[in-house]
Amino acid sequence: MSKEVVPDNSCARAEQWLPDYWQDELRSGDRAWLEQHLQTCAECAELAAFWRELGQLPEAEPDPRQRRRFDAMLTAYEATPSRLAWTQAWRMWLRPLPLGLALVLLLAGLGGGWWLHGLGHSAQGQASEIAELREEVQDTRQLVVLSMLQQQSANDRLAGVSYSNRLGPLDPQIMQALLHSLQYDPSPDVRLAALDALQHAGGGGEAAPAVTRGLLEAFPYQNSPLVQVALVDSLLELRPPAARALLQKVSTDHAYSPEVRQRAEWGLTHWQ
Amino acid sequence: MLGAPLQAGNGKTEGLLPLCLPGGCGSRSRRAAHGPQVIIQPESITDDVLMSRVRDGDVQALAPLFDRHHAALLNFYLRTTGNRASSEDLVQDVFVRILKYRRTYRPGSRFLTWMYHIARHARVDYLRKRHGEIEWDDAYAAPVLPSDPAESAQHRLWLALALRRLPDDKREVLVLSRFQGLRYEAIAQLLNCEPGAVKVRVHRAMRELREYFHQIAKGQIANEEKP
Amino acid sequence: MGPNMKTRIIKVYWLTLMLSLAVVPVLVRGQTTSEQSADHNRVVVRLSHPSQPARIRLQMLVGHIRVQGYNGNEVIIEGAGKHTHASGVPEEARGMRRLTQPGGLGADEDNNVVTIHTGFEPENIDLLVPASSAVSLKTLTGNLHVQGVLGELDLESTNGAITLDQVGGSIVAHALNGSITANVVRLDADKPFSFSTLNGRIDVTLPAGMHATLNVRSDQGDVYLDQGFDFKSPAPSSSTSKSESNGMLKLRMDKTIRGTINGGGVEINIRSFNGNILIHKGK
Repeated sequence: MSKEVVPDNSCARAEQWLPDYWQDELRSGDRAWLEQHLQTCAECAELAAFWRELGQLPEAEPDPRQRRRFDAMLTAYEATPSRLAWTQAWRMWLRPLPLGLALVLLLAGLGGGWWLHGLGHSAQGQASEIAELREEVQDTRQLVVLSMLQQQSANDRLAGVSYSNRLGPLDPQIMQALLHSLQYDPSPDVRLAALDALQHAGGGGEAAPAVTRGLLEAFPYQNSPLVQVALVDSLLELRPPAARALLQKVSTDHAYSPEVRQRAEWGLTHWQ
Repeated sequence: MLGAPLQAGNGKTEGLLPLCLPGGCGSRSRRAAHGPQVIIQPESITDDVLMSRVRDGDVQALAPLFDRHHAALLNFYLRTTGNRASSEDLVQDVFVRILKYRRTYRPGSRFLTWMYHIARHARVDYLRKRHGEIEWDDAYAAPVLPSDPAESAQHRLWLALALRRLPDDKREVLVLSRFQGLRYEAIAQLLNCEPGAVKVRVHRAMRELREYFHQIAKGQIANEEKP
Repeated sequence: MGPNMKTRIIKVYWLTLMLSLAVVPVLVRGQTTSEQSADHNRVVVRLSHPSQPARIRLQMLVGHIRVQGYNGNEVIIEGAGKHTHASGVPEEARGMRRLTQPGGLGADEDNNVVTIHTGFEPENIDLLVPASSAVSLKTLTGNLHVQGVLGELDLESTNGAITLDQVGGSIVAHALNGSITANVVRLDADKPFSFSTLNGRIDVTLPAGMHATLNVRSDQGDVYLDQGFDFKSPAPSSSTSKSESNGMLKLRMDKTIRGTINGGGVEINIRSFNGNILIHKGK
């Protein structure tokens, strides 16, 4: 700041008034004075110009999936308020802990709850409670996966994806989480693994259309050619009709790297 | 990144028509067909009324609030964390928290200030969990619109880099006032200080921004001059 | 006892646990000292908890990074590159002390997490780290070389090769336009490995006695596996043909090759688009 040594009075006043000027809070008399000053003082004018220029930074557009994510959350909240409390308890208390410790404590807590639950109940009551508990354990494992997918290290997140593979058919929350990882995980390896996991689930069953739609939507947001190639391959395997138009576009669009275009083209020639 | 930028900076978000994204407006009307008979007309109902309904148990009233504000919230987080994935997670987290703390909302107060209060807390918690470090997406650090002449694209890049280089608290106050459209009084409430102090902080932040801009510009130009 | 009661009991359980944990360590910041010379920078970082593993992170745009694991508990960072901030003092700053680093090389330490910052200019970085550290490196243009580190590795280079020697733990390595060469001496049982490239060969040596589950794929290259491995693949359609040279079994399929080594275990994912994949058996 070269002019710091002897503050010029009018500049000091101008600088004091600029914030108000920027938010249209100056009285008209003061504003007139300030605008006059800005015409003569290059430095203050530059500062004012910066404020204007900031407005040129582009505004990002949210993507439609976020609304669906919100909807899923809202529906879940309405359907099972007590379960959300459990999820929130998980978030509030377990996330700060290192993952291994959290797992051990979680299982211990669950075991404790199970034991307390078992005190003094009839046989039929127990059967239905065991069924309920089994469902809760399944939920717990899913919560574990969701937590692992948010870990800071790529190795942990990769472990999370791998673990989700072992859970059997994907539940919608895990599928959303994997789609999210596919799109946004900073590590290309985690994204590849997520795609692999989704494809296993999408291979058959009811999850397939949702997975397919997710893959189609994820495509434009990918910027790693390796993951794009893998996506092209997945779409070629799943063969949703919408993929054909997408692949045609990809094969001719030079924004995509040659390997991706090549793959799309190859796929199209084999598409009967 | 694409599309016309929103007119930021004049503090008015109520009354703005919600952006109708594919799958967005459609699903809302679908819900109105099955749900309760009150048909919510987003354009005419204020945030305060909607949030009061949420507070009283009509959880679906949160949806138009999401439609109205999630884009601005996303941009708030993008500008203060620079990471798209984290920002999207944070936006979702804010609405979870709004649900969780809905009973603490005071009907008649400004929803926007309350929401940013929650948003700031969410970000602090998120940072704490990640030991204060969120990876800046390289793509976001260099916003370039395809129609730019080369020089203004470069200016914009430097500006974005300078903004990124500001310390957290200065950058935040700048983003809240310049982009999120909050008045100084509202920001003062959020930061628990006097509006005068906010103005001073804004002013200092702008000066520092200019300083960094020039440093970056000098550094880049010197770089280019080397053989 | 309904679900609410159970939740409440578990909540109390957690609360007591959290309270007891809350008494535990206040953050102790480690110390960073640094030296500067005309075109060379050196930063030494002492850890808050020297007996525990460090987590080291470095992201840069342009430059090679070399990491060497050693038997100490400090992290030593050396940077060498041309800096546009001249080492001379400008007129207006005569008589003042410079607080910023030339070129911007510096590091923060917080609870054993060391984050290294570099400036905007290209710089080659050498790191000397405790062998048990977890290291995360990311560069746009530059080679990554890691030797003797047994902690978690998370490496990414967009334009450059990744070479790893005497490493172990869990490795995630991605070289978009570059090759990956790795000599892995140890595997962590619970975390998967992943190596991926678009254009580049992947050449890994894995421990002979390991128990692993392989998922390997090269779209336009070939996959070679050391015949010394006890490899079993469930897919009936795998076409295998013995290749005469090197005693390696050549597998070529359109889809991902999945199989187990020594019965299965650690998940190892290897993927390339244009490169050959070679999996050697180490000691």
